Amino acid sequence: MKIKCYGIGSPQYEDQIGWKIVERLKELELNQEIDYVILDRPGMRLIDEFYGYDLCVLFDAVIGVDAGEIVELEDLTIYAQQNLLSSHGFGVAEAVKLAEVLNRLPPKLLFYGVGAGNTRLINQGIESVIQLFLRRIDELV
Amino acid sequence: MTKTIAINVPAITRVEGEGALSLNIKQGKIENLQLKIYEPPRYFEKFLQGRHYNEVIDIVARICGICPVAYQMSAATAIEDCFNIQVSDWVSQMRQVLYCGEWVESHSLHIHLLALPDYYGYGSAIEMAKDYPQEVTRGMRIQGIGNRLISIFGKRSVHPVGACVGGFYSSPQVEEIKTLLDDLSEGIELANELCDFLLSIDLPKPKQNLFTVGLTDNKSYPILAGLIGSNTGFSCTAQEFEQYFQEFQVPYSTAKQCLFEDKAYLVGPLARLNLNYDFLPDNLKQKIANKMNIPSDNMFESIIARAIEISFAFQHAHQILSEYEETSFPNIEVKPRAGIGYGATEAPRGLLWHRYEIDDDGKIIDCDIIPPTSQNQAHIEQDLRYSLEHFGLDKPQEELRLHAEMVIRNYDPCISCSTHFLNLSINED
Repeated sequence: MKIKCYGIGSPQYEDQIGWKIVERLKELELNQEIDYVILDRPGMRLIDEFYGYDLCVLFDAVIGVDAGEIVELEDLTIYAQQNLLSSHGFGVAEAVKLAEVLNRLPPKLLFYGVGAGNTRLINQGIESVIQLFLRRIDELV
Repeated sequence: MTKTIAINVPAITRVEGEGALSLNIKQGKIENLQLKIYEPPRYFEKFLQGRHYNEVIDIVARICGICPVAYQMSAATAIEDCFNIQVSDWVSQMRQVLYCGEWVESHSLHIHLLALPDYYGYGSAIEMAKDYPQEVTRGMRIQGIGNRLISIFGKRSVHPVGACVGGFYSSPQVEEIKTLLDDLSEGIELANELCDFLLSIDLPKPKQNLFTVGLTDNKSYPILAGLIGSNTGFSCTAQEFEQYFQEFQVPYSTAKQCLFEDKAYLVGPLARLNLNYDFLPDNLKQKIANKMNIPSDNMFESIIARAIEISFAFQHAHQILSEYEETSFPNIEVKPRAGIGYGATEAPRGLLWHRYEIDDDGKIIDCDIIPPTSQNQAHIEQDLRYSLEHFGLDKPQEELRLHAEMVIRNYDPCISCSTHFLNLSINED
């Protein structure tokens, strides 16, 4: 099974959560062969990044939940805005939805989000996501 | 018709940034029409003051995530003008290549994600992709090649960091350019298909007298340099721009507007195509021959102009890079000197003008940036009046609203770029 982990975000404050999770996973040197990539607000480019992988795992900061709260999703498409106000709003959910429409989704896709809003809770959120991901990857592989 | 219609679009969809439209129709006539840009001013011109000239290139790139190269190139050429620097042929050519990447990615994004759904009656590109997967996939691939071009010279595709005053920080390796040439060849083919596809669409056909402004040099399809010319025969240098073009504030918008001697004017792909058609490659001229009139008097043909410019950009970049050689001198030595410099280049959305006043230490004393959306704003309002009357003011309100949004989107306005420094004069007794 070809696996790729995506740290999504930007260099701004808590938007780095996805990047930090991927950096931490790389340091762990897991037994499974996993490719890692850090992406700065990829928009539609995310779809090309799925190509050739059986399992794609996205890590990102999220809003709409409590700071530090962990979100695990298998279907992001329900969060896609149908009538975009701007291409600035073309985010991860919209890219996943477009990939689904174009039949370019990987066989399995997982999303882990950490609620932004409190910098002090970032490290706690990162470790929680990693534990959750490691348990899940053991089940899947 | 005696009724009064008030159409308010509180948030215009599928444009870059946030704006609104207010329209009042009374007794069959447009009484009031205002394109309201309510994004807060960005103050870039203010916080560039006191910065070293070398910081400017990376700061202005942050004005726009879609067209950062345009801001970098107008700034670099203005600062080099101030310091009386002539860049090498290698730098000049590679800057054109970098800029071609931006034309490709920006135009493709606008065509596929923002504009095209209008012509097929879809609310979004995602909806359209269900019925037109090949077309949307092709658009994404075209945009991807444009992004790769920017990444190679700019070192990353969003807010690139590879360019500097005097040139580039490094010269890409020949091997990298060889693989890029394969991508560009694919891009030429895909853009050819895109042009054919768009030329087959039955576009609305309102005709209007367009007053067009853009760079001209009477020998090429200019991107980076030239005089500022118009279809009325006017021309001036970037230095003379302020003598003829007046930027001013309207009370209902945080973005300034700009007029040429009190007249609204058009900048952007259709203006460029009208002004510089003769200097397109023959194959592109043949492609549009018998399918559209040049000069075009139909604003909706902007979508075709964008596709033609994607084709041009791929061909131009391929031509330059087919003889690519690495250089040990990707930039020239820069010695600051006090003065004022001017730069005008062709951003994807049109003419982008910069002015910098710099001191002996190379620090910015003052600057002014006039982006294409500011320049097009008055023309958008003028076009809306004309196009809505042509469309029929007696149409149902929802149809009028959708048509008005389509007219605005056709300009690819970048509202985030256009909201810049607001001068306030406060009198205290």
